[in-house]
Amino acid sequence: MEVPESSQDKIDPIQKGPDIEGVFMAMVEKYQDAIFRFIYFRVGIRAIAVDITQDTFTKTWVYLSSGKEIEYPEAFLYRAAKNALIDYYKKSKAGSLDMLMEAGYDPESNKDTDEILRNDDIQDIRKILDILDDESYQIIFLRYTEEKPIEEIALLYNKSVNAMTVQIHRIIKKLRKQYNEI
Amino acid sequence: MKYNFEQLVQVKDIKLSESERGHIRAHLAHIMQQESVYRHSLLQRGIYHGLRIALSSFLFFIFIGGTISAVADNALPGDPLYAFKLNVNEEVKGFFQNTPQEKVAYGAKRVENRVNEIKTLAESKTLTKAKQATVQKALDTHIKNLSVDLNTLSAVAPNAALSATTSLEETLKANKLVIENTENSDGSNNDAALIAVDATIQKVSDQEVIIISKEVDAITTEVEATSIPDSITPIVSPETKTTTATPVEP
Repeated sequence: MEVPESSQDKIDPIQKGPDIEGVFMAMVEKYQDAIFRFIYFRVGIRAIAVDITQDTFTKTWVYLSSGKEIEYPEAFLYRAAKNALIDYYKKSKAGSLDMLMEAGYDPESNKDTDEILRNDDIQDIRKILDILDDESYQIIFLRYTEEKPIEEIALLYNKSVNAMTVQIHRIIKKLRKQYNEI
Repeated sequence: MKYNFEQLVQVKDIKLSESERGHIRAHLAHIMQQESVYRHSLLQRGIYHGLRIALSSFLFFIFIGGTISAVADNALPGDPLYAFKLNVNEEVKGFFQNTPQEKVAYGAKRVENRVNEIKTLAESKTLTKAKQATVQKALDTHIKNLSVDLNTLSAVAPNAALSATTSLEETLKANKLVIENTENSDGSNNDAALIAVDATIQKVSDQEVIIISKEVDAITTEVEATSIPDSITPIVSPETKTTTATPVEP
């Protein structure tokens, strides 16, 4: 299997030495939109998605600055984003609406949500996707939004291509069933 | 409700605005200044790694050792940790006794502890020949060490040495009394315990006798040293002198 280019850029702060800051910033430039979309699609509020994106990259830098290496940067970033989302949901449970408003969310208007996400079809799909567990949700997002090849998604989740193909097939089947029930 | 995942590709058009990118970049620049990169060489990294392992291993052994030591403190003859108690816990404590008085007190305490263990086993009716032999062996060693320490102490403070042996003997006799009064269905266990305690009391008494003998010897030597030396000619009366000096007339 050919290893995708994005997963080959191993980052070792010891080897990179003083260049590590440049390498990290290049990684930020390369993945920030994808990570932002990934988070935004889940939370649906732009200001909060920006905050969580920022938090994801901050945690990645803290990890690198402690001398640890990142073997697959893209996989690492999606994992970090997933954890940041979990943290966000934990906090939002505790702080609820006040917290969201502090982060810039205006419940009276939907200006914080892009038109694309306000689209009825997309909203419907997001509702259906809500029945999925985190991993399945991310896999569908990566496959259909980021249009990643199955090989690359398999690598991100440390699975074989066959296993990932079967998993995607099962997720679609589950979603279809849910759709028919609705 | 429409169902077509292909529409999700529209989401790919969503991107961060320039101001949002600038905001993230500025924040990260600030964080990067605060969190400096770990830029040590491989050698330094190896050393740090080694030190971390050494420190964590040290703490691990301290923890394990401390736990074992704490558990072993309550061990009785026949318990798996009894040897640890005798040969590690008590030996380490003994190492920190500096003066002859402290050493004697600690030695006496160890003897008392052994006899207490016999008493506990006898009371719980679990004293076997093997356990008794273990304690007896330990007691022999303690008494031997105690004799050495008592010798040292009696040289500098005979009264303290004598007082220590007397006190120990009294404690041992009190323990013996308790063992004698302990009810036992067959009586065999208590007999074994009493034999062990009696032997110990005898050894402590012997030690007491040795100290007293030494003390008596010392006093005798002192008295002899202060008495009139043989080399000095005694004062003889003139009459006696004449009697002895003048030959008898035929």
